[in-house]
Amino acid sequence: MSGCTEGCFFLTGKDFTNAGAASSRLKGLLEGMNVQGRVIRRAAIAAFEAEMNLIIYAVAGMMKYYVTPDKIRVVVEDMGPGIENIELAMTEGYSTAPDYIREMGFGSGMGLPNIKKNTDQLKINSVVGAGTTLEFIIYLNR
Amino acid sequence: MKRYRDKVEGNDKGGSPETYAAGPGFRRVFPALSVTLMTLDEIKSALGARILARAKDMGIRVDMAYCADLMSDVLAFSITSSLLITGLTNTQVIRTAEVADIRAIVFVQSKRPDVDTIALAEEKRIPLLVTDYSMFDVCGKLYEKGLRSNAEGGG
Repeated sequence: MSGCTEGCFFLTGKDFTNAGAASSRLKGLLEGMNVQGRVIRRAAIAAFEAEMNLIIYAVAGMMKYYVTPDKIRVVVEDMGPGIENIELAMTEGYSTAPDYIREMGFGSGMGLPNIKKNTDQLKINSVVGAGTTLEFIIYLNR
Repeated sequence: MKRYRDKVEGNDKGGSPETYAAGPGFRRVFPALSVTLMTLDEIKSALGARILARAKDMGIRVDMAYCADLMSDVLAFSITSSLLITGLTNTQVIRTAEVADIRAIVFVQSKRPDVDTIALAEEKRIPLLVTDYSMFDVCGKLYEKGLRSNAEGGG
């Protein structure tokens, strides 16, 4: 692992053609920085789930990433409907996704639990009617 | 001793399987930890599959398989260098495969992905196969050949 970097991807709600492209680029970037494969996979999975959530539910938003020699921090901010009950949303299998999302293989209520499983720290702040900010940290040397 | 990982990753070309830590000898002693590797060519012929997106080397191997139509399940439970068996054919399958380090994808029941999905798979160098068999039959045939799921939850 070498160097530090930070950056930002802008995401548009319902843009399913490009859904996952940001996480894919983040993954490529981490590969270029020689981060451990296992850590890259965890970061890519967490980022991908967060990106899908944004694209499914929000109007627009962005994914910011900060990579330092000791950790990867990703902040996903959106303008969306917000999460009414975060505790409930963290429950495996709980989902408010419409059927067409489920037909794409998502919206099965595993997104947030999956992010939690793959990260060392997870913070979610949400205001109903305004938007959600999700932040996670993965430590590189554990 | 030769590294089993080299065989999985295709770094090691020669040698009989017995020389690997996870070869048949190892399997006799530790049946629960047995590992079978299948090349894409072997999978293709076992399933009578057609190739939609080709790998440069059809001799690349997978050591595990995972089957799901829920992409979140793939992200949560599949492990690195697995084969993904699915009935979903949209671009999200390719994105999921890339993120989860899936080595190759088999689409069941003659479900063909559209050109965008195939193009994305080619760009990401993820080989795609399509077979006429149902998901149950695909899993059964590959299991019979010795391929297993990941260890999480039994395998």
